[in-house]
Formats: sequence, structure tokens, C-alpha cells
Amino acid sequence: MDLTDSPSEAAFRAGARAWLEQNVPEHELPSGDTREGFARHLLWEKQLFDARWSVVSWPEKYGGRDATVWEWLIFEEEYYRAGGPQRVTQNGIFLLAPSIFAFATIEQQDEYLLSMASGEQTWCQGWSEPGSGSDLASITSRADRDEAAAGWRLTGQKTWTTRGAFCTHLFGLFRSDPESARHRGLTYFLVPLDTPGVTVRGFGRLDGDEGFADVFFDDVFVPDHGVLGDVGQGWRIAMSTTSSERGLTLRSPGRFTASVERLRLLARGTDDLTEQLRHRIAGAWIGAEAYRLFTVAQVSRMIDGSVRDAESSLNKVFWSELDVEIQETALAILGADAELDGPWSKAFMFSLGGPIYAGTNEIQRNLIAERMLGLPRS
Amino acid sequence: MKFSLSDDVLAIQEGLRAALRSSCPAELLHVAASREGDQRVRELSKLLGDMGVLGLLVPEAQGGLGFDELFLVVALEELGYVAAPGPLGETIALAAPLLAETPGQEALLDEVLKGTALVAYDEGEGHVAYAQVSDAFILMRDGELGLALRGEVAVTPLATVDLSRRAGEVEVNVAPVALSQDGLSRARERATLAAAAELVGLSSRMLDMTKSYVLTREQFGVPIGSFQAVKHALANALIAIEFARPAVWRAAVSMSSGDVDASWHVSMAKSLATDAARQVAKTSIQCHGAMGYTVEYDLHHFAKRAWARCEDWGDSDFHVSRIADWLEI
Repeated sequence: MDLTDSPSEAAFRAGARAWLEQNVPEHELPSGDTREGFARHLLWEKQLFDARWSVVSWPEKYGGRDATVWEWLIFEEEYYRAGGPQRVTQNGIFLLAPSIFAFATIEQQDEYLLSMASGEQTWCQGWSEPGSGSDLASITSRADRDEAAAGWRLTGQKTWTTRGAFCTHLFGLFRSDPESARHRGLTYFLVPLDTPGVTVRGFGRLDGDEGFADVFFDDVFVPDHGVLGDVGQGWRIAMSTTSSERGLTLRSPGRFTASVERLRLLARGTDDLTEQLRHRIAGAWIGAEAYRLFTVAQVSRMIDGSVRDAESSLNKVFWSELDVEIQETALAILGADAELDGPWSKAFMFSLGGPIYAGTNEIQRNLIAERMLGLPRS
Repeated sequence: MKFSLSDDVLAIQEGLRAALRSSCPAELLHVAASREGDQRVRELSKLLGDMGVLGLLVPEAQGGLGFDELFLVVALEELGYVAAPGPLGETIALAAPLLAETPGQEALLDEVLKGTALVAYDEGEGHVAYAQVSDAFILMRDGELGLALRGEVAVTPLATVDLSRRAGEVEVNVAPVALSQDGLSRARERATLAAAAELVGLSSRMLDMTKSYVLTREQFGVPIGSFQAVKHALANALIAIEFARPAVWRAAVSMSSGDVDASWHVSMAKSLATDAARQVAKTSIQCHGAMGYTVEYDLHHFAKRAWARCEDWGDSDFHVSRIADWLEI
């Protein structure tokens, strides 16, 4: 048991802290879920990339530092502590890239990873469809074989696609075997959004920002090298990605530690807090600490090879509900001013997405009950 | 960084687990409810003495194992899992180390380490758990720590919800023997941490029992564990336990490494473990249906012990309040 940084981890932390202190923009950037804000965030991503901080855990040849998981956690902690901007490239870096490392050909890795790390290519996730949310295996968007052209023709609609209106590429699942049902016969495609036949329509999320999009595919040609992994193996590859999304990678503890610290500052600037509110704030702090300690124990299990099946569902439920609690507590401190448009009201609305995306918490609880507790599938 | 139990801790955990699961069956909790069970409770404490568990925090030179707080929480989680009766948390975490620090108490310490003397703690503010089975009492009177033996106090038995707690009101008839005050705050923190670890063990046991029950109990022709409402309740119970245990470990590590914030880490651990135990107890009874609402089935022993330990050494509100003060909000 040792919760302190080793000398090399301490050096890594000091390096990250020094760079972030020098470089994190003094004023908050406009929301990365608007066209203008997205462009501003990409400049920041380029700055991170140039200093090799955009993808610390990746190999050096793709712009990373070969950082260990511990170092990655340290970077995240420092990043959010320094008030670093939202990572608009995260869906590529954290959701697609793990699958590319695991399933792509070397040529594909060379084609995509470096430009993903620099923000030159930006990726959105094409999973959900109007009729397929939690029941992802029911997707109907299809891929028809075009043997003569050595590729596939995509038809259908994806929706609730985060930052789809601003990204350059989409990774998504399509039904490549028309006879197949459920999770069989799906293939994982990598599609440039400027391909003829693709139409993107942005629309507002709960907070009104154009952070969502419908992506329509009308006979969109994708050559064979736009397939990730084997034809028909899309489900397996996608599942390897969703566990990254639910678990550590998308929501590192540093976010919540920083968020609770902001909550504490907000509370300190407020007179006459009720005892009940003081308890809620302290409770939120305890929650963020509990999450951090859980993930540290989990990383130790990852290193020992003893992580249990579906463990990442524990993370997902916990952080998403903690986030809502943190934001609701902030609104309670603000009182009547909570309705004003501002960082707290925005963060509150954003937090409500947590229990929904990446597999709703209802689905996560099913997974916990079935895979961790061994209860029968319903 | 490394935050997992080392192989030697795991080996000790394994050994203790095996011993306790055979020597502390749920049937013992049933007999421990009355005077007739006192002998069995003492046999269990002698077994723990033989294994060195009672002296795990006592220096080797004084006959203990000289271990640190991490071993304490690992051991107490196992004791909690079987709801071992007796003032074990207080004896291990508080009484034995305090006696070891006080010159002249070698004879009693020896009895305590062998498991032939059980020591209860009396805060001086009400009833004392296990007063009826204890041989000595650590007393808090007017801010001073003292010690009295069974023959020097009058115990008025009090009925408790968890019958095996064998509580009583303690009236001291003599001037208590003064104990070393130096170790007082550390002893209190250790006892709080011990209760937190015990609660994690109790919660795990209740969840395990409930899991088995919902897998076998059928209604509408299927195991009730296949219903989503039941699954979600048990998933929440698991989440509560999984996020409390690392906080207990961390508080132990902070105490043994002398972290300046250790006291608050202990508060965090007790608050998370208490909230988890309350939730798991309620969920477990609910998911057992009417079976959970009887004394015909073992679950109630664990729930009742958990309710008692939730209140020992500060409830969740108390500890959250301490943390709010510490955070200066």
C-alpha cells in the first residue's frame, strides 16, 4: 500500500503542473459544443499536442509519452486542478483509439492516430439510432457490400451524436449482414464525414448548445480499409470501446476532485449556509474522494490482472450520480440565482446526461447485478 | 503508487477467514444472546487470542504481533463478516494497545492477548455494549481514561436489539486506575476505524446472503433475482460497499503512516461504511420479503449488529459534520 507518487511519478506530476500553469488559458473558452467554441478548443488541443500532453498514455510515435496508467491519472488530476478546458477530442482519443490500438491494422493506426492526437481529425461516435438507444444491438443502419468497388455502401441514420456537426470523422456500427439479428453481423466503420451521401444536422442538447447531431447516410461509399477489425465483429470491438467509455478513461477522478473544490469555494463565498447544505457539500467531497480511492484501487487491480468483469459499470453509476449531486448542491447554494445562465446551471444540465450516455445507469445496474453478483438475465 | 493488499496481508486474511467461518457460525449468534452462550463467546475469543488477532496492534516485545492499522481493518472486516460477538473491535483497537502503553498492566494485558479477558469501553454516556460478558472496562470519566475490573463495577443488564450485544449500565464503585492518556486520540480513531471495517464486513455478508436468497427464491415461476427491481437494489448495495472499502483501507494507511489528515480520513471511512451498512441492511431485509422480517432466519443477526455499529464511535452525521468543519465550509 502506497498512495504517494514514486520519484518518477512526482517528476511527471511536476512537469505536467508546470506546463499547465504556464499554458492553460486564463479565461474560460466558449463552450466546445458550439461551432465557434469547438474551433477555439481545437487550437488548444494543438497546443497540448505540440507539447506532447494531448495523449500522454499513447506511444511516442503517435504523439504520446508512453505514460503508465498512474501517470495518466496524475495528468488528469493536474489538468482539472489547473482548470484545463473541456477536451473536445475525447471521443476519438478515449473511445475510438483503444479499439484502434487493439483491432486496427498498422496502416490504419498510422493513418488515424497522429491526426487524432493533434486534433486535425476529430471523431464522433455513431452508435445510437432513433430506434436504438440502450438496446444498441437493435440497430438497423446497414452496410451493403459493393464487391466491384471493394468496399461498402452505408444507409441509415445515427443520432444524438456528440459534436457530430463539428467533427471530421465518425466511427460507427452498421449491419453488414442483412440476414443477421441482434449483435451478430455488425461491422465497425470509420467514415470521413465529407464523403458524398453524408448529411449532418446539428441540434441542441438540454443546455441549448448544438452539441448533438443527426447523421444521415444515403448510399455512402466506404472502402475496405475503412473497416475496423473483421467484418461482422463490430459488436465485440464496440463493446471493448464502451467499457473504456464507462470506466476510468472518460471520467478520471481528477474531474470530480476539481469540481468539488469549486463547490467548496462557492460555499465559502456564501453566508449563512444551512447545516443541511454543509452536510451536502461535505458529502459531495466524500463522494469525490471515495471515487478517487476506488479508481486507485481499481488501477492496482488492473496492474495485478484482477479486475472483475463489468467493474467499469460501478464507476459509471458512481461518477455520474456523484456529478449530478455536486451540481444540484451548487444550485442549492445559489438559490434563486440558480436559474441564471452560467457555469453552474450549464454544468448541472450537462451532468444530467451522465446517467444516460455510455449506457444508461439502468443498463449498468443490470450489468452489475448479472455479471458481478451472478443474478439471472431477465 | 500501489493500492492493493500485499501477499502477506492476503495470506493472513485468508487464514482468519477460514478459521472464523468454521468457528463462528450463525448459530453461535443465536446462543450468544443469553448467559448460556458466554462460554462459547469466550472460546471464540481464546481462538482469536491463539491466532494473535487480539494483540495485532500490540508491540511484539509485549507479546503482540506488532502489526499496523491495515491489518486491523482486514481483521475487523472478517470479524464483521461473521458478526463475531464480544467487544472485539474495542479490545483489539483500543484496550490492548492502551494497556500495553500503561506500565503495571502486564498481567491484564497478558489475559487480554490470550483471549481470557474481554475489555469493553465505557464512554460514560449511557449503556455499554457487552458489559455483561466483559472482564474489564476502559472508562472515560471527566475527560480522563481509566480502568476498572469486573469486580469493581456494578452492571445492570439492559436488553438490546442485537441480543448478542449483552449490554448493561456500568456503575463504578472504586476510583479507576489511571491509564496512559497519550494514546487516547489514536485509540479512539483506531476504534472508529475498527467499527467502520466491521461494518464493511457485515455489509458484505448481508449482500452475500441476499444474493443467494434471490437466486433460489421463486415467485411468478422465476427466481426473484431475475427481476430488474431486485437487481437494481442489489447493484446499489454492491456499489455502496465497493466505494466504502477503499476509504477504510486509506484511513488505515494514513494512520499507520502518520498522515496529518488521518483523523479526517477515519471520519470519511466511518461515514461511508455506516451509510453503506444502513443501505445494505434495509435492502437485504426488503429483498428477503417476509423471510427478512423474522427472527427465524439468520439475516437479522447481521442487520441488528450493523445498526448497533453504525451508531458506535459516531454516526454518519457526526463524521460528515466533522469533515464539513475540516473543509472550512
